[in-house]
Amino acid sequence: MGQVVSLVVAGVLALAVLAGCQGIDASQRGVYRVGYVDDPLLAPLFLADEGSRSWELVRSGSSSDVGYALIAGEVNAGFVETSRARKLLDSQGGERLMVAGTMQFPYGATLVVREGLDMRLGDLGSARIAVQAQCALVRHFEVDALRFGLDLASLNYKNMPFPDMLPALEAGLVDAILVKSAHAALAEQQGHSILYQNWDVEEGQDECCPPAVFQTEYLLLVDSRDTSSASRLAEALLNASEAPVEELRSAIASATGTPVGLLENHPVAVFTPLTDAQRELFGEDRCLTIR
Amino acid sequence: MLDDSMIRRNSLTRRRGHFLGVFLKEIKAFTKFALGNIFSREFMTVLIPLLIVWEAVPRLGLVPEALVPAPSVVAVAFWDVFTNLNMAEHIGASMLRFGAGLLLAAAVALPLGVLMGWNSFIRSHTLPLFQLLAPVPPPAWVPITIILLGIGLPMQVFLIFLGAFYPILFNTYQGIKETDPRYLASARVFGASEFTLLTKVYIWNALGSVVMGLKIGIATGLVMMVISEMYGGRSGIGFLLLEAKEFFQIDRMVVCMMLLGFIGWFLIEVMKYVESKLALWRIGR
Repeated sequence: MGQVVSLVVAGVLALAVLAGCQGIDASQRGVYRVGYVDDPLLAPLFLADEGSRSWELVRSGSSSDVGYALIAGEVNAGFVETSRARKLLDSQGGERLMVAGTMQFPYGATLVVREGLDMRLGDLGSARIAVQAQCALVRHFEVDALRFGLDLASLNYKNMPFPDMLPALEAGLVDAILVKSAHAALAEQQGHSILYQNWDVEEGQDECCPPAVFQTEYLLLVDSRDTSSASRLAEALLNASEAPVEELRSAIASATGTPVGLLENHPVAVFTPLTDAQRELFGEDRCLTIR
Repeated sequence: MLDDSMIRRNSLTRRRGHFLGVFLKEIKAFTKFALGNIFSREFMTVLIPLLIVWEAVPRLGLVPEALVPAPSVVAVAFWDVFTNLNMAEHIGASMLRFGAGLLLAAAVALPLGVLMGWNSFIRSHTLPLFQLLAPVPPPAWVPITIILLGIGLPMQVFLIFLGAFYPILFNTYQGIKETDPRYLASARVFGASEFTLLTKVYIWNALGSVVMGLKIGIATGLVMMVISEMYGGRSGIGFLLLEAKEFFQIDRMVVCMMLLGFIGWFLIEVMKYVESKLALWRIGR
């Protein structure tokens, strides 16, 4: 009797798991769903969404969550941060996805100093600076630092990945962080100040910025089963990218709550079709042609 | 003739041998006790069908294989994680944090719970504060903890402490408070002092609740360990779990989840074994 009860319990549990795993596929919903995160770097998406549109935006907490929504069929398209998107395209479940375009932002090296620290480039010898090892940013920063008479041997680097840097700065574990310029607005919003910025960083063979996806902050990944809707979305994003910068900034401000004043000192990201180098990197059959 | 130092050495060796023998005997008894629960016929009748369904469902395409890896895929990932990711070091790092946080929680919550249950003056002055703070979900403390302690071991230990503290405190307090007055009256008749009552009656009476608090504390502490390892550090099972999640390695994610489940099960079995040794009168309940 006890065994029968156990088997029934097991069956019910298995069915519950099965039922829980089966959602409604986005392609059957009738609405084209686009996954995104609240990031000022998605300005063209926010502007395009203000006009007449044929899609529904689905907000996620992180760009990897957008990736899971894509492979689960919860959304038809989504913006996924570049390094994660590349992994997703190669992972099981990512076979169905195509790249429809990229969100580009000038690369730039930015040195952000912790709130309340009064520092000049010459004072950095005593500071703890978070950097991503083997990154083009470090090399460009060192060239400039030498020009300003700084002793490179005195620099106290702490190696960590980009996403860990801002929390480390907030926690006082480091005094400064050397980040891509895309992080600058966020750092300023949190009260930190920018000590150094160089927008002329050239592409390298570094782990953090391989040439083909240099300056690419996000990839627009789309479900290959509905390329016509994906093309319409991409067209709308391309049109939005051609709008005046003020309009894009205002769209960011209303979508993310970032004050317009803070955005005025920074460039705005734009959506671009894939370049030849990117098509080669991802494979021609994984790329959507839009223009 | 044997001199004194030789006699002492022989006696020490004999004593060491005796302790080692007892220790090995306890390990054997614990293994039998813990594995007996998991390899029981009753549980196998649930586990085996579940594993078969789990293996079949993704293989038959009822759910996407990419999202629900089959047990055989997870087994391969298990081997891969252990051979290529230096898993022993990650488990060691996690256990160090978890052990420190749990010990700290037990060291603070157990005496505090005893005092709160035993003395109404202490209870009325402290209980409302803990009742106000306990409902705050431990993950909500993460930002404040980072600001106060930075990112690193102290912050991680504190978060695990927070996760384990309240279940241990409230269960201990409840167990002490619910001590049968007849036991206390009997002990008092024999002239027991308050200290004797505490050490010989209250604590033993509350043992079941204390162990239950520790078991719940282990489970909530493990939750907080995973959360704490998502910040700052680059070691531990929580870090591996987050990294696997961020880079769409679902099979590795399942491995980490199963490992956490195993650690939780093992620690709870240890607590159950300790309880069975200390509270013989509860066996069979």
